[in-house]
Order: sequence, then C-alpha cells, then structure tokens
Amino acid sequence: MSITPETIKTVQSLDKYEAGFVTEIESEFAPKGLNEDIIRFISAKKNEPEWLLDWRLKAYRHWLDMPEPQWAKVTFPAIDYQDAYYYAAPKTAAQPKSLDEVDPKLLETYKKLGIPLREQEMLAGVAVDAVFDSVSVVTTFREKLHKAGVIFCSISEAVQKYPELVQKYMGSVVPYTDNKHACLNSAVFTDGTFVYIPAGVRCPMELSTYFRINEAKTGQFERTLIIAEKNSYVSYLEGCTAPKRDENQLHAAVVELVALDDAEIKYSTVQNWYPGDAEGKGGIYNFVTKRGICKGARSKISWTQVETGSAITWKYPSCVLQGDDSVGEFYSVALTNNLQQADTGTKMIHLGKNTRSRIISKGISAGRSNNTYRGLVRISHKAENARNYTQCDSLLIGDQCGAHTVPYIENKNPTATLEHEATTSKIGEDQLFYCRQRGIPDEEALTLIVNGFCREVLQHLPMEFAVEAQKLVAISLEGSVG
Amino acid sequence: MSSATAKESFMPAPAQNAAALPWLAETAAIEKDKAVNWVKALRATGAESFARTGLPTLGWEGWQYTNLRPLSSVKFHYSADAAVFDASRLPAPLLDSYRIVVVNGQYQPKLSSLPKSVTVQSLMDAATGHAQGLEDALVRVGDLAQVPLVALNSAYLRDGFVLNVAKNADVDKPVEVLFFNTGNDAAIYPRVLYRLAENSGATIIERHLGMGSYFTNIYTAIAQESASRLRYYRAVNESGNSFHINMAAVQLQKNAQFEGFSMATGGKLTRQEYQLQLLDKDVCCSIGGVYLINGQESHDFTVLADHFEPGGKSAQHFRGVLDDQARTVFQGKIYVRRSAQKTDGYQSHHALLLAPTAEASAKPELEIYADDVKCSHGATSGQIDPVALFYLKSRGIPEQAAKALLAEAFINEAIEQVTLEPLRELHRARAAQWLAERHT
Repeated sequence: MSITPETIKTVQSLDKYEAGFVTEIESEFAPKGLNEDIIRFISAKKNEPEWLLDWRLKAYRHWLDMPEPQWAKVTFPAIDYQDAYYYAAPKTAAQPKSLDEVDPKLLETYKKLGIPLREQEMLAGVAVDAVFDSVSVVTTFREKLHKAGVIFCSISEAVQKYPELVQKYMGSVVPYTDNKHACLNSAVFTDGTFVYIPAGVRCPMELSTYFRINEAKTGQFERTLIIAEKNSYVSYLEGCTAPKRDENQLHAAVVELVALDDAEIKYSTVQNWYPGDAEGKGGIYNFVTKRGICKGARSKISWTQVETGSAITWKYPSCVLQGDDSVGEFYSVALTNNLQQADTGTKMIHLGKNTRSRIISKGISAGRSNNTYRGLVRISHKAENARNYTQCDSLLIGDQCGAHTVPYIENKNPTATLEHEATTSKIGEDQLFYCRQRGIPDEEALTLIVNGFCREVLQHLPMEFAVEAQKLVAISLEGSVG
Repeated sequence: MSSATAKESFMPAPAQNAAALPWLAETAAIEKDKAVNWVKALRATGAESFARTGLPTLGWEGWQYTNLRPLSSVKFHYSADAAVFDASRLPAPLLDSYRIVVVNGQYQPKLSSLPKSVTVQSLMDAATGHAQGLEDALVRVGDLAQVPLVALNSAYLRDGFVLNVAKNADVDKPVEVLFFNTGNDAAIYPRVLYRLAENSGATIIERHLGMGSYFTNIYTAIAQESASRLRYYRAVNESGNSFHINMAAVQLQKNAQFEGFSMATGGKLTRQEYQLQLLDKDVCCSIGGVYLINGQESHDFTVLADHFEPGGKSAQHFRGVLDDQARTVFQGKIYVRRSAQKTDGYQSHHALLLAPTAEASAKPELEIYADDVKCSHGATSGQIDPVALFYLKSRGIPEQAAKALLAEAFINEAIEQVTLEPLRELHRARAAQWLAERHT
C-alpha cells in the first residue's frame, strides 16, 4: 500500500509529534505523592472490595524494598516517586451510558488523535475502550459484544460486576512480586481494560483500547486483563499518546493474557507515547510488563508491537507456553530517533511438549538513539520437541546511534530445536541511489526502505493499525537523512 | 536509580564480603619475598577489590549460567614453596616443538627449551629486572571490581612467566607451554604474558593437564605489536576434580593477526574467557573452540571482540557436544565502537546435546555504535538429526556408531579452523576417541 502523498503531507504539516497537544479539561487529582493513604484513596474512589485493597497494600509494602531492575541498557536519572500524581480523572458526571453523555472535549481529543469513537459507533468496526489519564472514559459497542457474550469493559467496572473472574486471574500471570514497575502498578493501578471471551466464541470485532496521558506530572498505571476461554478467539489492539512536556512522565502498565485450551489471543500495540524533543528533553518512560500464558493445550498467543514513541522503552511482552502444543509469537518493530532509548524484546518460556515459538524483531536506530533487543528463550526439561526460531535484524541510520542484540538462550531438553539469527546493517547506498534515480526524495526513499525492512512484522498488524504504523515510522524518521 | 549503566549496577556495596576473606588468607605467604613496589601495589589493589566483591554469583551479568558455588565447597590452599614433582612423569610434547614447562603455576627453566628469537623469564625475574613495559602491561587490567577472579589472581601476583618474541622473528617451530598441576587442593594463580614485537610470528600451544583436585585461575595477557602474527592454541584437559578459570586479554595493534582455538575435554568446571581488543586499523582475528563434556562437567566460553578502529575483522566459531548431566555456556559479544567503521564481525555457537539431562545456554550479543558494519551471529542447539541417523542406520551402521559418526562430523566442522595441520589431526583424533568412549 502506498503512503507516499499522505506521508509528505503529514511530515510537512506537523511539528513532528502530532499527538502532543493538551486538552484543557478540569480534572480531579489525588494529592501528590505515594503512600498507603493514596492507595486507600484510589481504592475508595473506585469503591473497591476489601480483597483488592489488601492486595494493593501488600504490593505497595513489597514495592518499598524492591530494587529497581538495572540490567536493561538504558540510563536515566532516579525517578522521584513522590513527585507525581497517582490519580487524575477528568471531572465528569457518572459513568456515561452512551457517547452522548461523554464530555465533548474528550470526544474532541480522541477525534484529534484520529480515534473515531463516534464514527465507529455507526460503522461496524472496532470496539474501543478509551482511557484518559487514570480512568476509562468510554467503551463503545457494548451492546453488540454483549450479545456475543463477550465482556469488554474497564477493569474498574469488571471489579464491580465480575469480581470472581478478576480475583481469579488478576496477578496470576504477572504477580506483584515480578518486578518493581509491575509491583508499583499493582499498588496504584487506576484503570485499564478487561476482556473475557467465553468458550467457543470468536469475538465478532477487533477490540481496542486507546490510552492517553493528558495531565502534567501524572503517571499512568493501567492494567489489562484478557481471558480467552476454551476454543475462543480475540484480536486486541492498543494505542497510546501523550502531550509534549518537558518533564518525564512514568507509564508503568501491566498486561496479562490467559489462553485456555484451543484459544487464541492476538495482541497488537502501536506505541506512540511522546518521545521527548530532539535534545532528549521530556518524554514518557514506558516501563511495561506484558505477559501471556498459554495455559491450555493448543492455545496461541501472538504479540505484535510497533514501538516508535517514548523517551525510554522497557518492555518485554512474553509467552509462558504451558499447554502442550501451544504457540507463542512475537513480532516487533522498534524505532528510535534523537535521544530515545529502547530496550525491548520478549521471553518465550517453553514448559509444555511440542510448544513452538517464533520471534521476529526489527530494530531501527537513527539520530543519537540506542536500540536494544533483549530476549530469552528457555526450554525446560519437560518441553519435548519444543521449537524456537528467532530472527533479530537491526538497521542503523547515521553513525551516532547504537543497535544492540542481547539474546539469552537456555536449552534443557535435547529434543528441542533452537535457532537464532541476527544481523546488523545500514541502509545501502545503492538502495538510496536507486530511489533517487527515480526521482524519489531522500526522506521518502528512507521511509520506503525502512517500511520494506519492517514489512514482515507490519503485515501481522490488523489493517487499520498497519496503515497507522507505516505513517508513524515515516514521522519518527523525520530529520534522520541529509 | 542513579544514572547507572547495567554494568555499574552490579558493583557490590563497598563493604567487605565475608565469604571472600578465606580466599585471601594466604596472601601473606608471598609478601615474604622481595618484590618491586608496583607488584606489591597491584597485589594490594587486587586483594582489596576481591575482599569487596568475593566470587561472582549467579546474579552477576556474565555469570548467570556458571555457578561458582562448588568452588567454595573445597578449601584450596596457595603454596609459595617450590613445586615438587617427578619430571620423568611429565607428558611428552604433542608435536615437534620448543617447550616451556609450568608446574603448579611456577615456570621451570630447566625443563624448558627455546630458540634465540624467544626469551622467557619468570614473572618475578622480569619484574625485578625492570623488563620494559612490563608494569604497564600487567597493571592495565581495567576495573578489577568487574573481574573478581582477575582481582584474586592479582592478589597472588607472583607465578607465571613473560615470553617475548623478537622483532621480525618468525619462530620456526611451535612453542608448547605445558601447564601441569599436581593436585592436593592447590590454588594456583599464574599470570602469563606473551609479547610479540613488530612483524614477528609465532605459534603457541598451551596444554593444561593435572592430577587430583586443584583450582587454577590464570590470567593471560597477549600483546601483539603491528603486523605480528600469532596462532594461540589451547588443549584443556584438566583432571576430573579440577576447576579451571582462564581469562585471556588480547591486545592487537595495526595489521596484527590472531588465530585462537581451544579444545576442552575435561575438568569439573572450566571457564575460558577471551577479551579481544582490536586497538588499531585492519586487525584480523579469529577465535574458535570445541568442548566435549560429559558427567557433571561444565564448560563456559565467554568471548568479547571489541573493535576500536576501522577495518577490523573478527570471527568466533564454537561448537560442542554434551552428554550426561553436562552443562555448557557460550557468551559471545561483538562490540563495535563509534569509530570502528567497516567492521566485519561474525559469531556462531552450535551445541549438540546427546542426553536428555544435558543443558546448553547461550547469549550471543551484539553491541554496535557504527553504521557501516557487517555483523551477524547464529546460535543453535539440538539433538542429532533423526533423519540423518535413520539414513545411516538404513545402510547397516549400528545406531551408536552412527551417532558417533554424526557427532564427529559436527565437531570436525569447528576443528577445521585450526590452520596448524598436525594439531588439527590430533584434535580430530581426540574428538573421535572421546566420542568412541561415550558409546562403549
């Protein structure tokens, strides 16, 4: 698909980061800082049951003594956890019943971002859950999904309506003890998305969540929980943006996926948090823990991610392949420019027999950025005939950036077959010359070549996202040639 | 978190580590001898650093897969006394070669024979004789807190030797360096320095052998001046009760050529670490290795190829066969600095697992800051291809023999890299013998 005219227009008309505006909307904050009272405040605001508050407090107490993970190849000054708001919500009346009740300013924001909440209500398409700062503002297509038996709502709502499901699964894939960022999230998470696909149901449409950080000095801590019962299927998309600000904001999310027998979950992310300016000022710290468990036999979890935003990305969407014959996939494009730092990859933990995993990672570094692929493939003693294929390719644009590959491969079963390949290269002069010769300007040629380099991954995205991802790649690369 | 890099973060708190202190208990024994001031200073720095860090644990980056706990379960003793042994029982040289004999870390001049173009001195003789550039070469070991075993080796800086190859010399025969260890729970800390002057060439074959229980912790420094050529081979066949830790720091100047190959077939725990520094333009180096391990043995190859300047080539090719509960680790890294354009780096590791309880871990890493480079790596691990096995069996070859044949072919592909033909044949024969022992 050609994106050329559109790309030119976007690149010309934009001050690079299109989502960098602020919505003037009255918000309600929790007091600044982090302590047990703040957690009680959040829990009370959300009218949560006792067990959840206990769980949050347990996580908080554990968090206090937990060391920061330091193994990633990223550097940043210490985070002052007390200098942030842990709860910010747009001041609106009660939970809106339909889009008409939603604050028009919010709808306007999403429209500007190209998330057509209202249009999509008309056209059959994607069901969206929009999360604004700390809370979910609207979820579309409830009716239709409800008919199919699919539960798609904010996690706060799920806590009220389906407490038994939430209690059973929340923290079962990513326990609060997992790492410092996930632990913080467990203590202070404010909202997120809950999806439940009953047995035998193929979700009738793509589900989508759009995350937006709006207020200054807020962190966003959302939790997503997706449960696919036996023989079900769901495709879920996630997108994110934030305004341009000079300070760094923390985004520490947790995503948990559970796939039971024969179920399949496809999870796609286009991450475009504000990356900071050309001098590396500002931007989001994206410290995210994403993990799925293929609990049932023949289940499948597939992660696809396009990471173009954030000052720092620290993210390893993983698969625990517990059920026999289960499949894990990871397709990733990570693009860094200016002073961005990305340390991202995956973990494939093979526990069951005949489990298979596939990792395709494309890293692109430009400007003065650093881009690291870090991945683990672990074959346990019992994982007979496990199979892994890993391919990591890095592309360097300019001589001031860095591209790194750090795979960890652990095999405890000789019947397993593991293959790993990696390459690092730059854009060929001959490729650029070929394009120039045909009258294609440098910038556009670069986009063309990079999109070709990422094709293998982009084609795994749902169509709407694939187009957006290509545009993002183009915008993110702006200024990296000539 | 401070603006710490991943590396710095593993620096332990500056307190003393109680578990480290027994390791340093015998440092006083070497202080009785006379030594020049910088040697004393280096010993003190090493001891101080090791006292803070202790042995690396599984939490250290670079040590996740090699557990040194078994090392602490034996009480090893350092002895400064002259080694007692029966010279007639030392093994004969592998090939027609010159020879250097080192027993329990101590250089034995009487048993050594060398050509004119090569000079060898014990480390302490070289130090007291103010050998040119020696202090600089020995002190330059980087941050000791990152390499505790080098720190420990420095704390006992005394044994080992310095070898110099004269300018423009081409040593006509290989130099065999026999490291022989006599056991008795000895802790052995040799330090070896090979220096090749401008435009010189040499072949060194190190053999590491021993009996009984011991711990040998070697630090090898190789300094190659411009246009020098070194073939540096190792055959590590330590006793079944031994621990062998070896760190080799190789510094290569302009147009230098380095060919390294190591064959490891024994030892309870072996770790061979190579740090190749391609300091100037157009350096060409290759490092390869083969390990054949079984029982409870574990082997670790850790390699860093650090490219400083443009036009460097580095290749890493490793293969190994594991049986029983053996464990292997391969950690390879190609590091390309901003200035090292036109670098060509390659790295591969292939492990063949013969038993369901064997374990192979690999971490092939690339860290690249220059854009006009070609770097790639490949890593595989798995069992013998059942299709190939079936093919051989269908032609009447018994299963065990067929397996050995396939494993041999697999391993020979790595042995191929050895350019010294007689040694290559010996390695092949050793591999075949090892595999035959597995199936009888």
